[in-house]
Amino acid sequence: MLIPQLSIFVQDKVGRVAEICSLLAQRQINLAGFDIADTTEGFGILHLVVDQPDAALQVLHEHKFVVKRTPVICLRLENRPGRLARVLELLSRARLSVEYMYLGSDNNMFIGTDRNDLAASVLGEADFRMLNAHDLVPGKD
Amino acid sequence: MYLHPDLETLPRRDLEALQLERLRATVALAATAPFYRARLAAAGTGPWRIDSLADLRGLPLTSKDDLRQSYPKGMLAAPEADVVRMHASSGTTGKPTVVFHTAHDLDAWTGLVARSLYAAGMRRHDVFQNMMTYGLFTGGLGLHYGAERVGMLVIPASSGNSRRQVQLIQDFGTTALHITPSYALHLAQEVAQFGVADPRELGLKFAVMGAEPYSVGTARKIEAAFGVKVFNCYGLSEMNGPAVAFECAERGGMHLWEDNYILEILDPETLEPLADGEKGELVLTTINRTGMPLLRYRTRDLTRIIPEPCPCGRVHRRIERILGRTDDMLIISGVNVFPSQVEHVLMELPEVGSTYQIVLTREECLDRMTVKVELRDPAFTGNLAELHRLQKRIEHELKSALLVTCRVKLVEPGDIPPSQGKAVRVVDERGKD
Repeated sequence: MLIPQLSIFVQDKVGRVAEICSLLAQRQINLAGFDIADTTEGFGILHLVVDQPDAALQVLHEHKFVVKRTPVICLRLENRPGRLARVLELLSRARLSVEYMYLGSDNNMFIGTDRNDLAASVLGEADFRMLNAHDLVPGKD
Repeated sequence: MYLHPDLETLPRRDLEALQLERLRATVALAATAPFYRARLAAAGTGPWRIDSLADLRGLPLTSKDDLRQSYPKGMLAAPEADVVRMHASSGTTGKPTVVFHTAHDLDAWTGLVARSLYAAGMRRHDVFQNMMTYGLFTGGLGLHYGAERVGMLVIPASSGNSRRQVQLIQDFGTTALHITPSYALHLAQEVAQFGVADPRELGLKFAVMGAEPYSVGTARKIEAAFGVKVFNCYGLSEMNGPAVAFECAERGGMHLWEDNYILEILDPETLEPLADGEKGELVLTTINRTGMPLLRYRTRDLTRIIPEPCPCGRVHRRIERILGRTDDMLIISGVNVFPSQVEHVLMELPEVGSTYQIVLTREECLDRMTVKVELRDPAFTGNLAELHRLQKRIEHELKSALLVTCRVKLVEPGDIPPSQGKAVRVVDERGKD
């Protein structure tokens, strides 16, 4: 099971990420997870997980951002030794390559691999709690 | 002091008689090429209209675009079997401009290069290291054969690889370099890391510099660094290449070899002739070329004729160092680049818009070209590795079209201000010196 994530092309420019965050804030959109994959080439990709992905996509398009939906895996990891190691072991055994990982609110862990659908089923068969879009609406869980 | 005393110091009257004879033959020959046959017929003129040098004005002008439209052989005036070499410069919209040479043409060009190097003071005991790129570009082979004709040992080092350049200079006792000004400045800084404390220790005497414009200040800086005399060289591939005009030992402007070219300085707006001494566009007619004669070719280079005679005694008039261009051509590390070439490459790539900006900077004395392009929304998948691949692919496409290495910077749509001409398309941050 995958949750909606937005990937935004951003160039290195002072205030660009701040602009995105304030656009979302104005629409009362809440962030559940956030990450920047930066490069030395003057651009990066911003990953956003929000409670209202459709509204976020719309406002970003209105402001001419280059943005795509890129569904991602979201796990609720228990806070004890060995849990992340177990996740990565399962993925590597399935020959899946992790492209990025980041933590969001409530100990949620977001994982992007080269094949997210397959990764989701591998992790789903193990005893991990995978979240869906509904779980990210504020006030739930 | 003169390699061709009869041709370099003949009276002006005799030079003009030679020019007229050669012009008439050139127009007759040009009329056998498909392009000029049509162009001269349309203008109602031909060799029969050439009774004096002033009749040159009645001939139509030729532009770089005419060369491109005639690609590949529309301006060829010799039987194909007589052609022994071609050179080409990269095209502004994909098609290069090509110049064909017969054995006669190469002999004449080589003679002009030899005459130029000799006028600068180079002799057969000198060792000439040619640091220009060999290939379709004329700076490599053109100077190579001319230097051989003077009798010098020629080292065809080609460009780049400073360590090897320094070793060749040291091992073979190089005394003369053919080098771009930017590379000369760069090399002066680099030699220290190859164990040469002071570039003057290399024992160089001459530096022939052309291919890109430079100031007197740059020339003096290079002279001070290497302890050489710098000689300015003017040329363009359409007119053979280097040594259309060259500085003699007086170094007070470049003698334009008027036994091979007729020069005019025109007002670039009105195309009316300007008096000697006035700044305008240099227009050249080949009068000693049989493979591909060019009549009244607009070089787009701005210069002026120096009206005073040169103390060296040569009759050929001198032109000032090039003062600018009348079009938007850029010169990057000695290579001519038109912004339209960049646009043409980008138009073939659906992933990016055709809005672009060229940023030119100088790093360690070398030119750097960065092209900013706008990523288009449909091309974005959210994958970073794909963006890197796209960036590398555009860099590769631009390099193959422009023959210059450039960096591509992907930017968000709307980041580049809408085009309002050259000022926005090109940001030149290279200093004047």
